[in-house]
Amino acid sequence: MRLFLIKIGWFSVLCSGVYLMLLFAVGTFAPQSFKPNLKYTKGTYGYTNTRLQDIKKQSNLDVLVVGSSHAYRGFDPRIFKANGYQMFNLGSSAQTPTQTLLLLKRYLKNKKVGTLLYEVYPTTFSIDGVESSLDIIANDQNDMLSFAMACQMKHAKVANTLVYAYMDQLLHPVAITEPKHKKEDTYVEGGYVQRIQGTYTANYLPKSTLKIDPKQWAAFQEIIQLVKQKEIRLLLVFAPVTKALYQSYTNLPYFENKIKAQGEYYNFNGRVALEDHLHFYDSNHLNQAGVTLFNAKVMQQLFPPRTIAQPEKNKK
Amino acid sequence: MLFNSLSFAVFLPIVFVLYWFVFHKQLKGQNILLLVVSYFFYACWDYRFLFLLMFSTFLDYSTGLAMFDAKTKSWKRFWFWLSIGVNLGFLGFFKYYNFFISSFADAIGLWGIHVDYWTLNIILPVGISFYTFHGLSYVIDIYYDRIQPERNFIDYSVFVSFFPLLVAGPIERATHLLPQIQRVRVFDYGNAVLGLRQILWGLFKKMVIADNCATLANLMFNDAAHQEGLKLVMGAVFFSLQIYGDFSGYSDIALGVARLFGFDLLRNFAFPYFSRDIAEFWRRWHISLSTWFRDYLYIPLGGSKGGMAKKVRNTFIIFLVSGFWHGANWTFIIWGLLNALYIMPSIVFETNRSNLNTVAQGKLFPTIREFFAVLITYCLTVFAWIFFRAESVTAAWIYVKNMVKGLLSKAAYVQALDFTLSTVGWALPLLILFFISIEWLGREQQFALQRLGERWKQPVRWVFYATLIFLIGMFMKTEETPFIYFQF
Repeated sequence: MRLFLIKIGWFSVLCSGVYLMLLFAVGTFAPQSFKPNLKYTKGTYGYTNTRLQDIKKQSNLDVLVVGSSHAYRGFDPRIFKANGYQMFNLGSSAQTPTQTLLLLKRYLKNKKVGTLLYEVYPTTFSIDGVESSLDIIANDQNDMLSFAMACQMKHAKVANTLVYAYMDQLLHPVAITEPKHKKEDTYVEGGYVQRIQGTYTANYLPKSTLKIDPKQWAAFQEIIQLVKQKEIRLLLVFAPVTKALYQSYTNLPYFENKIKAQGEYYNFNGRVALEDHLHFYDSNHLNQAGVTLFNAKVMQQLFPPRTIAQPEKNKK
Repeated sequence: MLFNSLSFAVFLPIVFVLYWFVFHKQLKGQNILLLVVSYFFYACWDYRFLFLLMFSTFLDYSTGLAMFDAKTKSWKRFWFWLSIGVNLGFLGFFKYYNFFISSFADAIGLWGIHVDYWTLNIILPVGISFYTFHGLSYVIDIYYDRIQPERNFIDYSVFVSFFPLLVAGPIERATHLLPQIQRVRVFDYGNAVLGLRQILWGLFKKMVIADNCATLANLMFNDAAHQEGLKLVMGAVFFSLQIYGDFSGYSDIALGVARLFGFDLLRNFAFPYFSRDIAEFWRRWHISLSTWFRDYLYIPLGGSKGGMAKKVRNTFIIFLVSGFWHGANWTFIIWGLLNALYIMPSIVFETNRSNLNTVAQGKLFPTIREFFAVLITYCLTVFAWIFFRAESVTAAWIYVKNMVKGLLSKAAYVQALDFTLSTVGWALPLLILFFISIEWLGREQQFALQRLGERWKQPVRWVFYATLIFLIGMFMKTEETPFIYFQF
C-alpha cells in the first residue's frame, strides 16, 4: 500500500508536468479544432482587453456600469459626461453575476464609485457563464480571484484556459493593443462600444422560459452585499431589447419579481420610443440612434443633470 | 453520481482510504462500509428508489432462505415463484407498463375496437434491470440447488448493491461474487495498478470517444428525414463507436474500481468489433448479460438439444428477450430479431463455435480473409444498431431508406467526408484511429491497456498515461453525459 501511494504521488507530479507542457504546446500551436476545451483569445470583438486596461486608469467614478453586451453597447459614457457624470462601462460579453462579482472584487478595491448601474439581462442569470469567463481570463491579468472562479465553475474549458493563461501571462506579460475600429464597431473611451450602422430585420425567435441558476443567484446576492458594504448606490436596470425578443420570454414577471426584491429596479423596455427595425442592429443590441434615445431616458429618470463634470482625481 | 463526474473523483478516494486504512482489519466493517457507500452512491440519483432496491434485496434474501428451509417441494416452489413474480412484477411495472398498455390498445385497434387507455408517468429506477437480474440468478440458483443461500444479510446486500456494478452491471453471479465478499481482502499492489489502468482506459473510451462520437450520431439520428446516403452511414458508424465506447468504457471503470477494493468482477466486453462472425460478436459483447440469458433462459428451454427446430426457436427467443430487456420499444425487439437472423446461418450450419480464439492471435495483422470477416460482421452490427438507436420503428425505417438513397453517387462520398470533418473536425478521426489501434494491440488481454507498454521504461509508460489524461481533459464534453446503459 505504501508503495502504491508513493507511486500515485510521483505519478501525480509527472502527470501535472506533462499536462502543462502539452497544454502549452497545444494551446500555442494547434488549430482550434484540436483544442475544444481551450479557448484563449486576446482582443475579442467586445473590446474586453482594451476595457480592462482602461479601468485600471480610472480612480473615482460617479457611475460604474456592469453587465452583459447590453451594458457595454447600451450605456454611452459621452452622454453621461455631458450630463456631468463620470461613467465607466465594465460590461463584457454574456457577463453573468459570477463574472460581475469577480470584476467588482478586483476593481472596486481601490476605486471610489458613487453608483453601480447593474444591467440585469435575464438570460445571464440562467446560463453557466463560461463564455464570459473565457473572455475575462484571456483579457485580464489573472489572480487568485480567477482561480476561485474556475474552481466554482468546475468546467474543463475554463480550467484549461486559466492554466494556459497563467503560463501565457508569465511568458508574455505585455498587454496587447486592439485597433479602435473593428468592422462596424468603434471603441469609445470609458468602455463603450459604438455601432452606428445597422438595422434589425425581424425573424422568428423561439419562446424561452427563464430558469435562474442557483449559482448565479448566489453570486448576485454576494454582489448586493458587497455593494451595500461599500455604501454604493445600486441601480438594477433591464436595458431595452427588441420587442420580438422581449416577448419571447414566457415568464418575465417571475424574474422581475425576484430582482425587484433585491433593490431599485428599472425596466426600460417599453419606456423608450424604440422601433425594432430602426434602433437595433440585431435582436439584442441597440445601434447608436437607439442608445442615444435610451440613454436620454436613463439620464432623465435616474441621473438629473449636474454641473460637476469630473471627479477630482481625473481632472487635469 | 456518474463515474465521469467530479463528485465521483472525490467519492472514490474517500471510500478507498476508509476501506483500506480505517476498516482494513475488519471484514465485517469493510462490508458494512461498502453497503453504506453503495446506498449513498445510489441515493445520489434518487433516494426514493433506494427503498425499492432495499426491498428487492430483502425479498430475494428472505425467499432464498425460505426456499432452502422449506420442508416440502410445494413450499419451495411457492417461495420461488413469489420471488420471481415480485421481481418481474416490479421490472414489468416500471419498465414495461406503458409499452404493454399502448401496444395492447394498438393491437385491438387493428380490429376496429377503440379503447381508451391511460399511461403513467413512470420514472425508471436506475439499474433496476441489473439488480433484478442479480436477484433472479441468486434465487434460481438456490431453487435448483446450485448454491446455498447466504445467511449474512449484509454480505448478500453488498452482492446486490456493490456500487461499481449497481447501475449498469456487469450482471454478477452469486457463485462468483459472494465468495469474494465473504473472504478477507488483502491489498494487492499489482491488482490496484491494473485497476487504475482500466479506469483510465474506460474514462478515455467514454469521455473522448463515446461522447464526441455522440455529436455526429445524434445529429444524424435526430434529422434522418432530411439527410441521405453516406452521411447517415457515418451517423450509424459513429453511433456504433459511441455505444461501444460508452458501455465498454463504463464496464472498464466498474471493473477497475472493483479491483481497487480487491474484487474481481465478471468481464463484460472482449473487443467485440474484432469479431469474425455474429456468434463471436455475442460472445464478446455484454458478456455478463449474454451468459445470463444462456444459463437462465436458453439452457432451461432446451438449449441446443432436441433438434434443429428447437435450437432455432430457442435462439430466436433468447434474442427477442434480450432485445426486450433493453427497453420497452419495438425498436429493441427488431434489433434482437435482426441479430437472431444474423446468427441463424451459423446455428443451422453449426459453425457458431468456429471462432473461439482471438482474431490474428499472436500476430500483428489479420489475414485478408480475417479482415473481411471482421469488416462484414462490423457492418452487420452497425446496421442493427440503427434500430437500437432510433426513437421508433418508423424513424429507423426512414433512416435506412434515406441511407440507401444516394449511396451510390460519387458526390455523396465527398459531401459526407466534408460534412463529417466540418462537424467533428480532424481531431476526432485521429483519436478514433488511435483508439482502434490501442484496442487492436491489446485485444488478447482482458482490457486494452492491461499489458500495453509493459516493456517500456516506467517514465515512458507514465508519460503515455499522462497523455491520455491530457486528451481526456482536452476533449471531454463539458456537460455531464450519462452512460447510455443507465436507461436500461
